[in-house]
Amino acid sequence: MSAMSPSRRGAGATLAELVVEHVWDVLRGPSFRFVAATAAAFVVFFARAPGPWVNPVFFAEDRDWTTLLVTHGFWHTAFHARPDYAVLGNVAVLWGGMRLCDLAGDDVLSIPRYQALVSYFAFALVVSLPVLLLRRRLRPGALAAVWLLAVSMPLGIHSGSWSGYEILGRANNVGFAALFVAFLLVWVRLTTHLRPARAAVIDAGLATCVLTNPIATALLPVAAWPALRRLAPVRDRAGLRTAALAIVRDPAVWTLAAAVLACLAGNGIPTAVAHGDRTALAPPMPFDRAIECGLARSLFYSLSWPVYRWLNTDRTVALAALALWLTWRFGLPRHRWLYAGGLGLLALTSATLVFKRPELAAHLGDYRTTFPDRYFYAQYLVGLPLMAAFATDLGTRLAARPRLARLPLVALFALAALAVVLEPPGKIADSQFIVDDDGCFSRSAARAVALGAWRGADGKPAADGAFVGIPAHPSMPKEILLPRAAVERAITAVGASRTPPVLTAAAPATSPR
Amino acid sequence: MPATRARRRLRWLACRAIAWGICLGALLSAVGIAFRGIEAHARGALAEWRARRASPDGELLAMVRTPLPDLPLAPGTVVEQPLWASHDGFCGVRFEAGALAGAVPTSGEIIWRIVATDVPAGAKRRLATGTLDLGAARDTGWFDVRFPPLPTSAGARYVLKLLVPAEFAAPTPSLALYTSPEGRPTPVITGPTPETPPTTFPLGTALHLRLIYAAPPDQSP
Repeated sequence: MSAMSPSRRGAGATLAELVVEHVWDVLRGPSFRFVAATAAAFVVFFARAPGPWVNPVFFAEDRDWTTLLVTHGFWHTAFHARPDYAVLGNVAVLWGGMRLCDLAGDDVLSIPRYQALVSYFAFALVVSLPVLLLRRRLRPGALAAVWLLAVSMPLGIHSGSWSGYEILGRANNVGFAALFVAFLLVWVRLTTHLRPARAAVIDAGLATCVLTNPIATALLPVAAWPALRRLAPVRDRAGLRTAALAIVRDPAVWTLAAAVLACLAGNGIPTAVAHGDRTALAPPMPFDRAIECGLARSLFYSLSWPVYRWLNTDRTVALAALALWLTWRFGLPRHRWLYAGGLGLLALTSATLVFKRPELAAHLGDYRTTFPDRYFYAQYLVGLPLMAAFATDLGTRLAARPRLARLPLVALFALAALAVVLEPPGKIADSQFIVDDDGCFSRSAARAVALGAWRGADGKPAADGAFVGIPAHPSMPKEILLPRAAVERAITAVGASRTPPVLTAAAPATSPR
Repeated sequence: MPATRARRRLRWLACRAIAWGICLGALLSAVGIAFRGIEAHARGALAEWRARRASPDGELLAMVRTPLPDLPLAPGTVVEQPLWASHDGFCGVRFEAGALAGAVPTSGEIIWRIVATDVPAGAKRRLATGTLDLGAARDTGWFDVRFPPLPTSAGARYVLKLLVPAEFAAPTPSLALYTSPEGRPTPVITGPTPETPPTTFPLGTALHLRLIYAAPPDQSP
């Protein structure tokens, strides 16, 4: 709470005058700036991809994990939806959508619309976090540029591929953003005086990120650096004892230890697990595709996207080398740890994709398409604050020439403007309607109830099953399980017929054999 | 004095809460107005997209990408293609012929059947059957199967069966195959002999199919 200024808030001020002053205080404060940034990002993301709200469909893992939420509950789904790691963040979005649907008083068949709303909000929150967390580390102009670049991040929405359909408004691809959130949290943790409450909140956030995206595990040892560096000046046993006592007495160490234990309990010891048959059977990624996947799409996508179609292997390597040299040559020494850490995280992510997901090579289009964008947008977001820090460093180096000093930041804003031109939020892409529901799910639900498609919690037919199996969409044959009573209520409410369908048809004019 | 300080603190908190309420209220109103405006624009775009997509050719069952080698229909083979109707009035299937379509003799016929799969035990499963003149695809490149509309087909699952008679003369017809996003219903081939094990295709292989629906009857009194 800000200190009261007696000269402004004297005893003679009326309530209205006081409220007006408080309103100005609130508007100028960092908390409201964060809330406003989130709200604006929510609107922009909805404008870019309104399909999941106006044409809702239970899509891919959202369908499967909603089934698990309905049949087995939140915690089971968060930790057992995938066999290899937890998906706490994704499941929280789906669960939030289901609760919002309840609160809105809408029927169970409308759940995917509310899950879409929560998804837009989750993405908006993620891209607006730098406004709150980095406000003391980047200048306001740089923060604004980061936010603009984040809300306009290229997602291939107008490319005609599935990218426009499967990221914004969905929960299954929210988890990649946990990498970016973890990066921000560690940055704050390393550059803040850690009071116990603040450390607890940051470490709880870190644990949530690791329990959503396992690559964030790599950031946990980095988060321990403030404690570990106490051991650096140790020269003798007495010094070691003093340092160890200081570490053990630091509440921030205990909160981090609790977070690590939670991650181990949730994810287990990290092991390399093949991502199904496609990964196990795919050959190693060819060198050219590895450069495209690892460098152009992952490590440097926040730089390379404007010229992506112009790239090839040689140009990508040259651009990457140039970017690295410029960063080291012109970045200020005080930010070198940031560049090293950020690029190290991006390199680790790139290597994971290249070596552990070789089947992605079949999707990469030799720089003709950016599909599958879902694997790469988090790396783009991580690159943004690094670019903003570099632009600030360049500005500092050029401080003697004020006009030139502004150019790096202007370049960032120009990049954001270019992103808006290439993927305009106001233009609705056909990718939003790749799968058209057109009331099909309601009709399928009515038919499932009429045919008595009751299922047990295991998904198998059961005459007294508490769930009903409904095909999500004709083009996606898997069923979703929803509570039987809730579906029956929904069908009755919309007045759909419950009489059994007519199953015979007259033979056509041509004579059958 | 403590009482005065406590009163001032309470007044500060109250004013701060009111200020936050005003700011959040204004923000949420702006978001709500923007949301509704975008939603209206999106619904218009969806209606326009549906109008553009509606064609006499019918609803596309499987999005297709790259062409694959044609699927030859040897004598004695049976092709079973799962279908899923999204509307009532399902009355036909149109599927793309392979490259040999122009070469088949005009007298060649194969049998087609529409079979319901999600029906209670004992209910009739074969809904429609007929024969298909393969020479008809020579000009259009598409085979066309039509039958009387099924009134309550929305959400129902069917199988299109194509049976090539064992005595069918060469050259054999073929169907066009494409890659398709995973999860689309893939065809199953049995034959040419009963001992031949069925051929299933990898996920992502699809016939190029369109499902056709009859226009709903005029319900005006």
